[in-house]
Amino acid sequence: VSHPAIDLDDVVHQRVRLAILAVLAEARRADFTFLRDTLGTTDGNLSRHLQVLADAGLVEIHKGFEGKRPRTWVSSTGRGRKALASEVSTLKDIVGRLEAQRGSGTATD
Amino acid sequence: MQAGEALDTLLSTDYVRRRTRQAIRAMWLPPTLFGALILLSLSLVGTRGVGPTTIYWLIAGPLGCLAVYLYYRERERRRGVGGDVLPEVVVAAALFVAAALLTGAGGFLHGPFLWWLYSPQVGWGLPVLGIVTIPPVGAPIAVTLGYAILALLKRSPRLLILAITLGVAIFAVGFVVLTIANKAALESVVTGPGGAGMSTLSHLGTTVAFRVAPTVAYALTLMVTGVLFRRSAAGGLV
Repeated sequence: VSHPAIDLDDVVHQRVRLAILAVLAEARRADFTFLRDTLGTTDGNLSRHLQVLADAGLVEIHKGFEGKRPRTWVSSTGRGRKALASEVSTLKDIVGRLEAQRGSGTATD
Repeated sequence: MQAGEALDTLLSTDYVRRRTRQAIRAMWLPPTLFGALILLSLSLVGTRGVGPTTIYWLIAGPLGCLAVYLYYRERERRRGVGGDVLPEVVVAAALFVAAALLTGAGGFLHGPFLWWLYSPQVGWGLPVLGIVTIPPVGAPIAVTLGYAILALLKRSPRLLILAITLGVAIFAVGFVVLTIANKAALESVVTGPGGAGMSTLSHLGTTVAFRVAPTVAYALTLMVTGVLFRRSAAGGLV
């Protein structure tokens, strides 16, 4: 039986990208500033991760203006929500496996 | 991957989701607004027939729902994050239905007539006669259903508990007040001075007052709920 970690998606599994998908799973949409402040990242770092997610079709980026100020809104796609659900499920499997091993007194991991 | 690392990632993901939900939630507006609209509708007490009340709610109800929708859209723009507005609009619609049932069709404006269809022995809210029981029973049910749907959509067990508590509280207040009113009015019919005609006239006013009391209690309960939501940090109470 393969270890569930094999099912982890490298695009989604990265910590900041996973957190972006987690925010967007709860929100209809979020703007760049909210994401940056919530996740505690820098502008450049967040931009790079958003681009990776957008290239994978997991988020949609809408750039526009409010008055004269540019504003970027981000929303999750259906694929993004499925990818997050799958990632969370895999992580739970890994944790569940650890607990099962502990229960039977076997060495972990 | 280490299991400890997986658990840590799960916990931090869950934390981010909870924080986002808290940033989105602000449920104070629907109960506060509709509580105020209900209190305002009491100014129509004494007007003849249900026409003014019906017109009032036909205008105030949809406008209230629209105001709720626009507020949450504007809030999303201001805060940079927003959720689906549908749950809040569902609650606003439920409160509208409850308000219309309580103060509109079959509500206190019918009081002097419908009072005779109540009986303190049977008790308030029992199905004595269809429409009579819809206002007092329907309003708590509409409020409870609205908040229960919101709890389901927002996955908030605490909100579900609040929904049930609010429904029971509104029903209980109405039950107590109307039972006392019926009992007092019946006693005055039997023992009151001035004959049947005078007696009936004297407790028409009493009956209207007692019919207004649960409506006021209902409106104030909603407004207090709204203030509690507002005071809880970022609406994170529920």
